[in-house]
Amino acid sequence: MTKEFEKLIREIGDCKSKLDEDRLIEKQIIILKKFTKKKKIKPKQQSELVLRLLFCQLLGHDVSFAHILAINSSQESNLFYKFIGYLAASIFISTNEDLQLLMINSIQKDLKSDKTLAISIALTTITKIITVDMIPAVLSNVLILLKHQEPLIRKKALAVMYTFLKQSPESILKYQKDFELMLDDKDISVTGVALDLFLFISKKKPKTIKHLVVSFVEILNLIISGKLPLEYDYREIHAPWIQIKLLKILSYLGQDDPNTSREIYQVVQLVLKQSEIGFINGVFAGHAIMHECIKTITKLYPSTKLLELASIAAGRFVTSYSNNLKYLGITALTDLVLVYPEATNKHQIIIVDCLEDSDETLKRRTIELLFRITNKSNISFIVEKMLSYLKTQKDKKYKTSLVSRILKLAEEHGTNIKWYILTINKILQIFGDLVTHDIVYNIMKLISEGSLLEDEEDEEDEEDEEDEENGKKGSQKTKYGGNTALKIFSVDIYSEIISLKRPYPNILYQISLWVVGEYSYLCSNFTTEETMINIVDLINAFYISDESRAMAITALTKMVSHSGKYLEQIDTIIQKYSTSRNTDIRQRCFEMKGILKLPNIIDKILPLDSINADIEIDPNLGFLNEFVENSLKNGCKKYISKEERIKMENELQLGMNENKKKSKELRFEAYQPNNTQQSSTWRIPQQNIYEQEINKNQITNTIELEDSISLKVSGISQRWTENGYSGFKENEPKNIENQTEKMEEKDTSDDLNQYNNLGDNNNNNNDDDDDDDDDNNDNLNNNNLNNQNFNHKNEKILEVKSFRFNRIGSKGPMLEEGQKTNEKILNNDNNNNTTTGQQKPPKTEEELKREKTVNALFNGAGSVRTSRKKSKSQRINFNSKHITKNTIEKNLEKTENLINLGSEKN
Amino acid sequence: MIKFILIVNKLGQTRLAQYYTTGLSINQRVALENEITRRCLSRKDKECSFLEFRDLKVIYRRYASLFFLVGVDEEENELGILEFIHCLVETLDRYFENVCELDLMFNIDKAYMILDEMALNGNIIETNKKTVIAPLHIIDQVSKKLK
Repeated sequence: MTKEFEKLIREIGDCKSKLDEDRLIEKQIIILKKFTKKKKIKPKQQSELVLRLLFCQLLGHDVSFAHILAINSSQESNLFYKFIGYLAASIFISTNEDLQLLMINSIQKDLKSDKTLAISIALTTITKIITVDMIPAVLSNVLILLKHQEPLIRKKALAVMYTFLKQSPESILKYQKDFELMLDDKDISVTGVALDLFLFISKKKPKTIKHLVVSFVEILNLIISGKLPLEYDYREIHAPWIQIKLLKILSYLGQDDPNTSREIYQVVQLVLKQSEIGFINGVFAGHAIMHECIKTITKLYPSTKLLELASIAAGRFVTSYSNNLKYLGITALTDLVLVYPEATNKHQIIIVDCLEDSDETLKRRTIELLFRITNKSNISFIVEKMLSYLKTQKDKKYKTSLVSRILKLAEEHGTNIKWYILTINKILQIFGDLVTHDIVYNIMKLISEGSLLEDEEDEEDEEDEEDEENGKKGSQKTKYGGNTALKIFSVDIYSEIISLKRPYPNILYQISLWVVGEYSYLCSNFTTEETMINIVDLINAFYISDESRAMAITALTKMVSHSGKYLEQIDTIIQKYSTSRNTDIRQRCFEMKGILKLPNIIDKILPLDSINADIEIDPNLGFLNEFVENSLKNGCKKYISKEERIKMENELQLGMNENKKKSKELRFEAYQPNNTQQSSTWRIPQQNIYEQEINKNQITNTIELEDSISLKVSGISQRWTENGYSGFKENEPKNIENQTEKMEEKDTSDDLNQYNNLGDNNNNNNDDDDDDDDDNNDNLNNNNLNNQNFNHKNEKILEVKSFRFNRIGSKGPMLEEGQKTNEKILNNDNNNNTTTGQQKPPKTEEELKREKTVNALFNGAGSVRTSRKKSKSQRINFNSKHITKNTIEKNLEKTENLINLGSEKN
Repeated sequence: MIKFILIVNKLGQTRLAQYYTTGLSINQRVALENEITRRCLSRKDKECSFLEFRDLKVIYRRYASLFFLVGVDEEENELGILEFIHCLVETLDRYFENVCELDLMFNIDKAYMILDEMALNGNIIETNKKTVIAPLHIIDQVSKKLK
């Protein structure tokens, strides 16, 4: 040992922190790197360098630069250097696979060595570095070594075979006979290694070694009768680890096999009895075997006698003072209860006490066991214990899984529905944010439907309650049927939760709001007005989410319609939230407003207790047929499906190619003057747009409808087309009919042009104004659109709308379509440039490609980004069509009436 | 099956590491070692010697300033491993005579060799102390001749 090496070790030993250590090792690595550049290193120095490298790697530093030193060292003839080299190489190599091939040569040589130790070291190295490809290179040598005279070599050779077996089972299983012979080896440790192989086989292919059960039982008998050399005893237990291996193999062989199991019962019982001898303080060898016996018994085909013994043994573990044994007892019971449920009967209190222990490992196991032993009689007790345990946990992932399991447990074993609701509420109050929404629906369903089973059980409880409440609700019960007691019970609970005004998790409030909204008329502890005020307060509270707020507004709507009572506070709320940023809240506010205007049909829209009513949905909207027919009679155009229209358009397009060429020529008309002032004066109030949206949603399926009631959405229709936003064009009224198709064509290309420009804007902001001019020019032409293609347009609006709403999904068909047309427009782009006289440099292919992607990206964002331009086009639209605010409102009213009509029929 | 055997001191510095599984990079190993050591060191004496970590079970035992940590799979017998650690320590003790942290550091090669004689492939292959130490004596003789 040189001074340098000694110094390094001492320094490492003196390091007080990871930082010191890292600094030291980094210095060391710099020194070592110098050595690797030297051509000649003496073997002695080399082996020492290798050891220094080993330390560096051990402390977490990469030393791959010097792995070659280890390999060089392994090729030394001196056994000591060879040993160091192999040792280091086997440690380095698992992180550097190229080294393996360099090793194989010297390994092959050493396997044929006449020195036992050299062979042994080489074999040890093989177990650590071998890969499947290298097996054939050494297999024949190893097979010979299985019959080596030294037990050390036989043992190691077998271990190498185990490595091979793991890597490539199929090719090695054919040597099974050789392994069987090794079971009878005169050296018990060789037998021990052979058992490893059979343990592996018993897991993969138990059927192929069933005939060996007798041998295994024999060996086990031999061991427990104390016929092994004394050196294999460990604390008065005979070869405990070999016993454990044998028990494991037997458990796999006896699994699901009554005949084999019967052969095993006796010896397991003997081993179990013997293992008690080793119960000395602080030594667990005997316990280890006993534990393995319990495991084996659990796996074997059930034998009542053995299971009883096993449960007694497990009981000894659980009742022990040592946490190690408690832990194993709990683990054993967890498996045992599956085949022998009585096992835990005597120890329930001890098991639950384990949850109070400070030991986290023990507690987690106990929870597992509790999940298995929960039944109808102990559910409430166990869930309570689990919840108090849950409160102490910090790991969110674990908590989440535990909460969902507890919920499942309560659902499975809960006998009393009221207890269930109260428990769920308790869980939600504390862990609401860890719960999935399924539970909300479960509860809703449970409360609204009840369940027949629960009712029977509940009857007793109800009777008690009835006495308490002096039949206050007795009359109501008969009125509303069997589940009413439950509904009253839950509505009381939930209205109280709302009245508490605590920052509970939203999920709890959502359930509460739904229940209260549905059944407020049953509430006994609060009047409807009180609850309404509570809800209003809740809506204003900072701690609830928008989702809950929206639910609260719906709950209010229901309560108002059920009770017919209305409060001023509700008015304020609606006023306040009609302008909410959240569209859901806004929509619900408007719904409420709308519904309240219709006192005649209010109870039809929101009937009492309607959650279970079957609603027949007519997907064809058959109730509108009459209306459609009437409209057709009045001269409206018939609806043409999209596919048909595309076909028609395609046919027309073929004929239009020539016309198209014309459109690319220079235009000499003057541009439309740019009136920016008007744009600000004509802006549709947000509310109206919103209502239009609602209306359109309702009539998506009947396009004619919109046409016939002549809702003048032409402003929108011309701004929005299938392909997104488009400006529109004012045009000379001549040749209208001929040009219609042409304009369709142009329309598409123009609005895409705009997208294209958007993409451009990103790259080149200066172009912005020019582009706008360009748009306007197009807009002028675009106004060619007349009523004839109005129908098509309308559908396009709807498509665009649906596209906008679906845009969240990354690749809708619309997106792809948009992309395609974008490509098309790119080709038109250059032509347009020439027509408007803009001097843009012609685009290279690469630019085009980039633009395509930018366009695809902005296809969605484009609709938002064009809003600025939208206002401009709106202005033009209103100018030309002379649409006033009044006419829009009139139209809206018409649509509203239509909806009312529809809902009445519904 | 044993997945790894670690010897660390009470400061959390690794003194010996043997993995029986492949596929962990050096950085992953360091992270794993740090995490497990940290958890083991924070446990109290009275608590059980087992630690559940990801899909592993870590069985540990403390001897003076050294911790012996063994990571095993679900199937392994925990107490068997606990006793194996003790058997390993006894063997080290017999070879080094009153083994201490510095012994292991100065003779890291021998420490690895003892481990390799007792466990291979993640299986316990030898627990007879005499048999384990015999090859070490041969190596010692060879290295003495060199000096």
